[in-house]
Amino acid sequence: MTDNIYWIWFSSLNKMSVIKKKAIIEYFGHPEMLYKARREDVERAKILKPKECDAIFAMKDLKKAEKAKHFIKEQHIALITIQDEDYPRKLRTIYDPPVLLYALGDTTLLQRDLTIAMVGSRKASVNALHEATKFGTALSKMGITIVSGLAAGIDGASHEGAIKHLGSTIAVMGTGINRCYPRSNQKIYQKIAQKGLILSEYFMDEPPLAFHFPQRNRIISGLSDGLLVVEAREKSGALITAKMALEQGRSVYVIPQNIETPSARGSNQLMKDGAKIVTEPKDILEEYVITVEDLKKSQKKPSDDNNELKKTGDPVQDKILNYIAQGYNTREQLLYVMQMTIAELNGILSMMELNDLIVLKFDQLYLI
Amino acid sequence: MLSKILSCGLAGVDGYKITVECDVSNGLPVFSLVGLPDAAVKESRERVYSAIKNSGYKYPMKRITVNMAPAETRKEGPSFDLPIAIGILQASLQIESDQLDKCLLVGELSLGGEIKPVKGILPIVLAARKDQITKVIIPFENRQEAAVVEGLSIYPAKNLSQVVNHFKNVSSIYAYKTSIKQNLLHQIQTHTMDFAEVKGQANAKRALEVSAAGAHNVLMQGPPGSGKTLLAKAFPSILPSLTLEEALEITKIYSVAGYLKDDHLMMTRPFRSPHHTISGIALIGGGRIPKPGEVSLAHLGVLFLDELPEFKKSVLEVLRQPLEDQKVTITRVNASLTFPAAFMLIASMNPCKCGYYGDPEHECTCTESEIRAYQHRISGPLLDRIDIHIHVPTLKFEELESMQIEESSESIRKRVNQARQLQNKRYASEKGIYFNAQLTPRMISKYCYLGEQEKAFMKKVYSKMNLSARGYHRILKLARTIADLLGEETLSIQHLSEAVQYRVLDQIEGR
Repeated sequence: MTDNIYWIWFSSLNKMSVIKKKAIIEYFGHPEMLYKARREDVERAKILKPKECDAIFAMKDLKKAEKAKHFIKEQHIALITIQDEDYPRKLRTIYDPPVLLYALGDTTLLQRDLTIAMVGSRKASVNALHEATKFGTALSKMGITIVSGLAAGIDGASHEGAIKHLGSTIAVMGTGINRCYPRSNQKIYQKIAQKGLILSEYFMDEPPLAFHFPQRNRIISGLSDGLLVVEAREKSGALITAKMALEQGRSVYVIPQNIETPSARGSNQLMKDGAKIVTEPKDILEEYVITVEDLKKSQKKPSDDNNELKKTGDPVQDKILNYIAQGYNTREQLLYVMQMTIAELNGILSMMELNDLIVLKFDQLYLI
Repeated sequence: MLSKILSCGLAGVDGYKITVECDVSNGLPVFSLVGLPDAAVKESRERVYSAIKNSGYKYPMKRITVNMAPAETRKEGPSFDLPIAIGILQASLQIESDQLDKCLLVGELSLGGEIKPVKGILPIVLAARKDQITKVIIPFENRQEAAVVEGLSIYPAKNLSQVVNHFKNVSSIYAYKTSIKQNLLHQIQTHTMDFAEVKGQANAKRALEVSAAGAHNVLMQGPPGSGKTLLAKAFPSILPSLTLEEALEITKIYSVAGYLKDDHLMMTRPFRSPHHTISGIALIGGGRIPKPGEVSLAHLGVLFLDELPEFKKSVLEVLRQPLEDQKVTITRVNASLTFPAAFMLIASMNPCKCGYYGDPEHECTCTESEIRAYQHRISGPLLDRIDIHIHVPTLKFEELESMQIEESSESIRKRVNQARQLQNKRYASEKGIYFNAQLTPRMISKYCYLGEQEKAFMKKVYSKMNLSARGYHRILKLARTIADLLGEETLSIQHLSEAVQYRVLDQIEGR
């Protein structure tokens, strides 16, 4: 860990690729050397093009870094450089590791043995959101750290599930660490800052630019042992993460979704390409069974969630649950098979909603 | 000589008595008109001159002064032609009658002396009755509209000489009578759409039934082509029948606005569906001399706003006050007028810009922020005033083609009528309250009494659904209406749990 002003200055250089940044650090040894180097020395390194050199010399001003340093201290944000002991081991092995990470929260999470990344669509189906929360909770209960990207939809649901019961989770941001994006995730951002860990390779206040997100995806997969794709569209960010995970030698898992759902076409394609299909959390665990000793104990619990339909004690509600499971998931269809009036049906649906048996969204009924 | 003729002007949807005084005296031939006349009234002089001449009477070539009292209100429109002409004829001693000062006259004159129909006859005749005037002479073509008011004689006149002969006792005009009771009984329900024609959508239909029974406002959300507009168009067919007083009130507004068709009493509840490019003034009413807007034209009927988020935001916000007060007060330099606006709002919208957010069949192409921005176009305070929120899904082909027989509007309306009668009886002692939608929190605790079990149920709902106090009251009001539809006085869990299904859509509330 460091609070070196030159490191902070170095991280604010945004005209240089990650690979070049890494090479510069290897060549100069420390950003301070770069800062104090003459132009000839920098050019002699033959890493940077003249234009990029110009950019560096144009930005030779420590004022911004000074301000950032003050802020970091105030907010208890840690700086982890690639030269530090506590730089995450797994991340060091990838092709283009970030030279510097801003970290807010519990940095010991970076040293955990087993980490699984969870990614998916921002506009996910109700079922997928539910699965994300369920897997997040179940996996984190087994002591696995969940890594995700704090985006809307699946990412948020995974974090939410992980943090719900003392679980640990890491959020990798595509913006500066002090900026919550999207704003709708403000609550979960604060929760993770308190109980989990928030990471970013970007300088303070960096806006959510489009190219940041595929870039940060390499960190998500790089930090983890395996990647779970909950639901992904075609050409989505989640698929980019899956591609990177494969390049980095991580396993890819997919939860199968309805083949009709447009938001699951990409993840279903991954299965065709050979990703491992998981239908319950222990399917992931069995891959790492040596790492996790208490597997046997926890193995039984999560599988309980996946047993047969719940019994409600009310014959009519049982019947409705049964029909929903068979795919009669609109009011119109239920009315037809149940032969009751809409007034009666609406009353029963409210009861079932209250008892957490079903979820109603856009007039579609879903089992929980 | 001086003459005094009674006539009537309009302020908003109410008439008020105007005395037209004519003085003909020796001097240079001058016509002067005083008493704040507008352009149309000033032009009376030319019409009156020609009409008198062409009807075979003599226009006095003397100094003529016409005053319209009270002098401080602005007079508009051509309906004073007839009283001015008769006034001049009386002042120049061409008519002598003791009947004239008990009679109220209105009508526009053509150059040939024919009497043309005018706007606002119904409020004028109602005002005349209030002022205990027993005889009214009105244009022939307005006779149907005028005759719905009972308790005074209506004399429809076709031309100026008919009126003059009537007062000269040469030949009388026959008083016109019609039986409105009969008219109302034979009310032909000519609705273009019937609920039986709308396939499926049981949930939306039920929600509209509840809405009609308790006068609750409705917001329908759903993808394009799901049938929101169709449902809204069929909605008037399940509304309760009009009472005589209601019919008169609606007719008054249409009469003033000049929209009365066939000069009949308005027999059906109005259904107004303005286009979303409408301006705030057109919606709420206005103009130099204020005219009723769409909200008033929808009085006691339905205001249907299709594609709600496409309306200008400022236009939607003006709806807040009439939704709350059920009337609009429009103030201009010349007048401050109050129009009634007790309408039911039926609104429809797509869930997002492309329309397919949440649709299981189509993919939505909007970004998250676009969806949020779209739903943000409707403000919280406006949503707060809408009791029922429903999602109208697209139907599958099999559902559209199903041979199931749907319930007709007729039989739904029977239940609605029953529920309205119950409410009328219950709220007889509360001033200005006619239906459940109007209940205030104080009245809710009085009329929506919950037993122990029901209280426990609502407590669960309150915490589970993250309700606000307003959301809580909304459910109670809806449950009240649902119980009324069943003819039950006490609220049960069954009523409450059904009402829960019509709550504010999550995707809107959690925006």
